[in-house]
Amino acid sequence: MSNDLLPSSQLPGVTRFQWQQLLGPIFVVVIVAYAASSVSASFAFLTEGTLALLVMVLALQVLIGNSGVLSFGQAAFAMVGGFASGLLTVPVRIKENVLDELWEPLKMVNMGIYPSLVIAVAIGAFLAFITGLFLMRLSGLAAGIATFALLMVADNVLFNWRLIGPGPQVMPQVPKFDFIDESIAIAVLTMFVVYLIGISRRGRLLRATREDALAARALGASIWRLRVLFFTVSGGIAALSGAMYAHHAGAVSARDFYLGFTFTTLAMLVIGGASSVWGAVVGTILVTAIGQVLLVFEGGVTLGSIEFTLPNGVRGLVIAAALVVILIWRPRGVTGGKEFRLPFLSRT
Amino acid sequence: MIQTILDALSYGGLYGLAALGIGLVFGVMRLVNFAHGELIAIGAYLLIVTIDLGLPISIGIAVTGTAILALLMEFSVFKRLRLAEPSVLLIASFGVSVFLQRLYEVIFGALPLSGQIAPWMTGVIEFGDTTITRGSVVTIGLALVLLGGMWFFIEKTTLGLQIRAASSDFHTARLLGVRSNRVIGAAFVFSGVLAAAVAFVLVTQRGSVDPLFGVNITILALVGTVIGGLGSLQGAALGGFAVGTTISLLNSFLGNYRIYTYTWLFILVIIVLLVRPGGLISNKAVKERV
Amino acid sequence: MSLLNVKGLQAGYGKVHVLFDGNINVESGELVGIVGPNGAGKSTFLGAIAGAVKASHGTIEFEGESIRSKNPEDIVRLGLALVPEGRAIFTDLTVNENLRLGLTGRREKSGAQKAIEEVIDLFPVLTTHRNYQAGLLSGGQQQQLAIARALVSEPKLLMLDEPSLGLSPTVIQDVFGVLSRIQEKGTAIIVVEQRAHLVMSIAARTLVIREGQVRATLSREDTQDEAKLAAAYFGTGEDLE
Repeated sequence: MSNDLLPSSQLPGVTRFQWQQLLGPIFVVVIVAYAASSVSASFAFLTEGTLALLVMVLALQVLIGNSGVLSFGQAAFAMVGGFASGLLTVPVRIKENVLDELWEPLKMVNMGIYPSLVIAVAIGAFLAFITGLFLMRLSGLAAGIATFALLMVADNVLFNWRLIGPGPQVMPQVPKFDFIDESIAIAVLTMFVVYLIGISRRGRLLRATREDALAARALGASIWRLRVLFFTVSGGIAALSGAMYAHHAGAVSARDFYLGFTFTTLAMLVIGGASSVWGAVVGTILVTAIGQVLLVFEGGVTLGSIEFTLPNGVRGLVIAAALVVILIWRPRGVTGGKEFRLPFLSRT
Repeated sequence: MIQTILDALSYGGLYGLAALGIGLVFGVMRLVNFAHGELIAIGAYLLIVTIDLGLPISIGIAVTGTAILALLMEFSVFKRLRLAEPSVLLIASFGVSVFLQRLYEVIFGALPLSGQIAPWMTGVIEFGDTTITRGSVVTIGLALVLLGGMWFFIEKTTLGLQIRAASSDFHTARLLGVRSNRVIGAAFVFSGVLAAAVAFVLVTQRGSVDPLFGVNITILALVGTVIGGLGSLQGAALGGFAVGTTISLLNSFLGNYRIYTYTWLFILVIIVLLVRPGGLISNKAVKERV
Repeated sequence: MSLLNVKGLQAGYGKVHVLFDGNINVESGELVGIVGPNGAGKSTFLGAIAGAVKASHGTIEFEGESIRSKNPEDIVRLGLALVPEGRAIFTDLTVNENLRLGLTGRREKSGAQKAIEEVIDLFPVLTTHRNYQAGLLSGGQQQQLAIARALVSEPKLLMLDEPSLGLSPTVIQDVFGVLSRIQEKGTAIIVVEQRAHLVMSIAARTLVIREGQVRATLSREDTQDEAKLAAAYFGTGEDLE
């Protein structure tokens, strides 16, 4: 099949732990993040937000890249993570004033950012486990639509239910990270987890089942179990991403994690290449960079005597076009679905 | 009370048209076209931009333009993804959808564009004591005419027969000589025409259009298509009708609790996919082409 | 010039090759059988000739014209029709609608109704069920419908993939009786079967496919020669030529 998002020929590549495959992408992320954040305060802010997106793209990668099951619904867990970590850290006084319909125990609780991150991940993983028990019985098109429905349900509930969140409003005064290093460290940790679970025995088994329908059927129930496991891990990491976003922006609302967020992160993964950590990293950096360049043009740029101004909307246009073009001409993404490899170390 | 029923029927008809548009394309190529909403949006834009030329001409331009855009999607994107899996097609249509939304923003701006398309539709008709809105009557009439027309086309014409055959077994249809590109192209054209009809009703009701104009109805029509049975055209139209009337009735009766309508609808979608993947109405299974 | 001439055909699905060396030559009006064990590549062979399975190597000439890279919808218009395995009729459509679909592959567009009437005369059981939903027919009736539907396109060569599959012996007799009558009308036929005796009794020549290759050609007389048959079929001893 020529248009295969998740190719089979790549499979044998990531079966064995190789330091370069793990350390290469980490090195690139750390270098790019520090370099970009040293440019200016606004670049530092952008970098922090991009690291939260990277974690979300990794959440998608660990599920889609290994199981081959498409999900439009992981943003639901990011939403939950953002809300959870926000609610646990916003000062009690603020909650009493702004979120007056909130459930009493939630109003009273308050903790530091890091404990809240752990709880957010736990809640995200737990909800992913429960929903995954049902959703991971589906595959292909049905899985795509059902996970999309999950996103709709999460959005509808969290957008309206003031007992557990700000409802249609924004939850303000979420404590922010103090240093960029915190986001970088979390992203690096996530890359470790995603890479290691990908090359683990279970990860290899799950990828193998995608290739051979017969073997997949023979394994039957255990595939479902493996998918639920990866859906759970993905949900936890997505919740982490949502929480990072909340502590990056200092505020959080349901619509931060709706269709736009889903589209951007999915586009990053597909453009970079869905079947590797390296693809997730490249896609995130590439899409962000393109967006930034176009943003500058949208503001107006003078080259010589001519002034260019791109109309608003061009950024989304270019990224959407890139996604479609990649799907048609390079369905394995710009990395070709390969893990990171140093040129002079390459073996085939 | 009569008005409530008429509203429910008109919503049902509208969502039925949207769901049928999605179902037609799904049938022949197993594509759930998220970008159907952007076909509805271009129809609305064309109506508002050309309304000064007079309603008949404006409608002609909107229908033609929408059908052309539908064909363009097929030729520029989906035709090149014939061998792709349905989930890849799903992502691609998501990409096309966002691409067009941003394109409309670039061309028409992010803010809503207002215009009066058919002011006569907003009035009321009086029957003694009861009054009913013209809009609901016109919508029901339009839906009946279009659904009837589509029924005739699908059931009674050769091309319609070929579309039904291709929807149930594409492989065998080709062996019999059914030209795949022609059938798929026809499905896109008709889904475009249906989208233009939906655009007409919606833009008359709302009086304005913005880049995200078609997103909501498409998402709900998609629910109808799944509930009715992906791959079954009657199922899609009936499913859309059911979703439209349900939403309308819930809006009338539930009051404040209606905010959670979406939650129940989408939970129903998940249950249907898990328990009856062929839909509640149709008895066919969602078969993925090999 | 032969009607169909295939040489060195290779075909498969994705990276999996099923057919390695497909060769067949069919003259006008001839009935040729193809037999072989399960999974030998028989269906792939027919599918590749009809354009439904992509062929990677070899030549397929129909009336002297190369058709290897053509679409199935174009190939049927040249007069080469395939009745696929498992019948593949449209169960939601009526018998009549199934037959009308067969018209799609006709070369001439006039006389469509007459073509249907002529074909349906061969299948008396279908005449009484024309407005039935095809899914309600029995297995044998469905098989006859599938053959009738292919005949409506007025093929010069009709290919059938396992027409006896799932049918009772009496029904099989009916179906094969129809095949003889079709051949009498001048249509060439290729029949793929797992049951060698069945096809060898009506075919002038029968090819044996094993492990993706045409290994032997048997004549009608070989039906009596159990040893030769078994050798060709299961590959014991030398390959026969």
